[in-house]
Amino acid sequence: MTILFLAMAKALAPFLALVLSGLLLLIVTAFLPKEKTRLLFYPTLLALAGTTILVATNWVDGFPLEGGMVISDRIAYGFDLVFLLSVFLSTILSRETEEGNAHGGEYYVLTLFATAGMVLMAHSRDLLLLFIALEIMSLSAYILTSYRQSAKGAEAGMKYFVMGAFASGFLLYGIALIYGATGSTDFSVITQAGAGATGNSLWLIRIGVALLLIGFGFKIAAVPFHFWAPDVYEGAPTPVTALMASGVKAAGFVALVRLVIAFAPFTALPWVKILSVLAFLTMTIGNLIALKQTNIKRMLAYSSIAHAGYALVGLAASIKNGQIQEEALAAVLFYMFAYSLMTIGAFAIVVAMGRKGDEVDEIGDYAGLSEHHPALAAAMALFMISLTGIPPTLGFIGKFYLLRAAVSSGLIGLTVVAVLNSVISAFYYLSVVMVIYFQKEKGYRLPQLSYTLLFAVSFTAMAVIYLGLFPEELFQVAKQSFQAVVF
Amino acid sequence: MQLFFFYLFSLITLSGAVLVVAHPNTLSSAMSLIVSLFGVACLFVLLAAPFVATMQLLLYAGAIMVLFIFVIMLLNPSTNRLVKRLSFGGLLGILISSYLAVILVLRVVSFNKPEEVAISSDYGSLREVGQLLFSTYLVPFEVTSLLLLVAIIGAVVLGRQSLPGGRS
Repeated sequence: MTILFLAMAKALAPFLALVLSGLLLLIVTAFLPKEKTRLLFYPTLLALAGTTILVATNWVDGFPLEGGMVISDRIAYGFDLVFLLSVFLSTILSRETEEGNAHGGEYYVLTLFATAGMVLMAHSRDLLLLFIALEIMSLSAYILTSYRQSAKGAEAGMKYFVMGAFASGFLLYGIALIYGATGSTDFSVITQAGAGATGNSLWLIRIGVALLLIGFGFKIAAVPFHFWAPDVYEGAPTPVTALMASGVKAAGFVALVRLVIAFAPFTALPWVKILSVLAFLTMTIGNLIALKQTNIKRMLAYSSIAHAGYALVGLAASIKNGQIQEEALAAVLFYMFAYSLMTIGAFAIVVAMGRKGDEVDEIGDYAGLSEHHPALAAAMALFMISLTGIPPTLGFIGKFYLLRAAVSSGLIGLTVVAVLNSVISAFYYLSVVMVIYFQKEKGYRLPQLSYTLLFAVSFTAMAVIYLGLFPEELFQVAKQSFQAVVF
Repeated sequence: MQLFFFYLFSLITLSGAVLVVAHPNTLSSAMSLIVSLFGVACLFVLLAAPFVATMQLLLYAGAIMVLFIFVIMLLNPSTNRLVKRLSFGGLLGILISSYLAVILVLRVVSFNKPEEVAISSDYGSLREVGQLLFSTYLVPFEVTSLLLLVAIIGAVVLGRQSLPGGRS
């Protein structure tokens, strides 16, 4: 029994580290004088950094640890790194906004708990645990969304909550059907039982999987389950929006990746077609609607939808004749990492443009940025170029790996659509650059920049360029995460 | 004897459920829901699941109903809530629910009696459930407490007074 507990604790170590530090901060918050709670910023970053080191060493060790319903393989650790990076950076952003300085340190506690939920999602080998982990993450995200007590924040939080609850309904129904057909929620048992399933029980599993796809489709904001995203992204505090676009989205993708690995080999569903259609709709509609946006947060929200579409291309490419293609899944992981860096960089500049307490959201407000703050303008231009997918940036490399995987799986049509979509997206990304460089300012106020914010912007900008030039090592890490995939 | 009790409890459950929908007073509707849930709890007892039955009473008939009644008293909805006009949504609802009812009835009519399965004497007992919770389902069980903690923090955060400088 003790050995079992130890194994479980070891497999769960990153999750436990995050939860324990969250609990510790919660207790500390209760005793700190109210003006001092902003100091929790530092221990939060420390906890995230410590967990990152733990995850990285575990990834290097590479032994899959198992215990209970938990699996700690390199897939889990690889996605953990994406979560931790995006939470770390978005936490840095939150120091500049009202939420991070608000009285009461619950903001940081909830951030840590949301991260713990994401990490647990990556480590779940069981649908039941996966669901609870998803709920921990989502519930924290709902609260963070309406953390600022404004009408807009409340509306966004409420919308997010209701749509999230709706998605949870789909997930639970799907899990129930799969449990009914196989008698288990454990992935390994399901794959064994599913391989021998015929007739009605196979159909139950298929319908269950379809419901799960819909549920996770909501979480990653894939079209046609995307309609909540723009309002929520706009209404949430900007650092939280950055977190939703990066970490929460990546968490949805880790669930989808596990789903594909577990269910694609035996369900004999038209996986490639389903995922291709989803990817096609998500890319195209996201990009087309983004063209018309004048609010930068809404624009980035639709861009985030479109980027989920690109990543879905990789997911569609990961199944070829019922076999899992590790390279395509590695491309998805790589893209999540790349997209998180770029989009958080862009959101960092959105934060920088606003002073504490009010946000500057209209794209027109960016006019003349190049004169007042050339470095910031250059960074924004870099992120926009990277989001478009122009070399030599990380965005280009990420798309390149995805499309290479798609071509080698024979999805030529989808590849062409993705390239065309990149061209469409160039219109609205580059128009931001045009505004920054070629439009005259109109009553523009120079934002005050702090060192933490400058760190976030310069770190992401350098990462986007450096990894854009030398991506090979990082891609090897992503690739090795998917070697010898088993449940 | 068992059959008699089954029909008795089913009658209680169903009549409670009908009252929930049909009663014009919201508070009485909520009270009828307690009756219905009590019937379900009794059915669980018949199925040799005393633990689930107790939980059903404690959680649904107890805690969740208190919540319902709180909300009803806070919002104080008008008592006359029977829909007179048939909307498109209502029509769709009637169609779907009658479709489901037909399927259910057909299923029950063509139902073959399953062979009886022997179960151990402490099946569904507190001991059995507790052992499962602390062995197979240990991780989800413990992790659920984190979920509840997040919910509590959320209630406190969202319910507190406005932030200084915050717009409302």
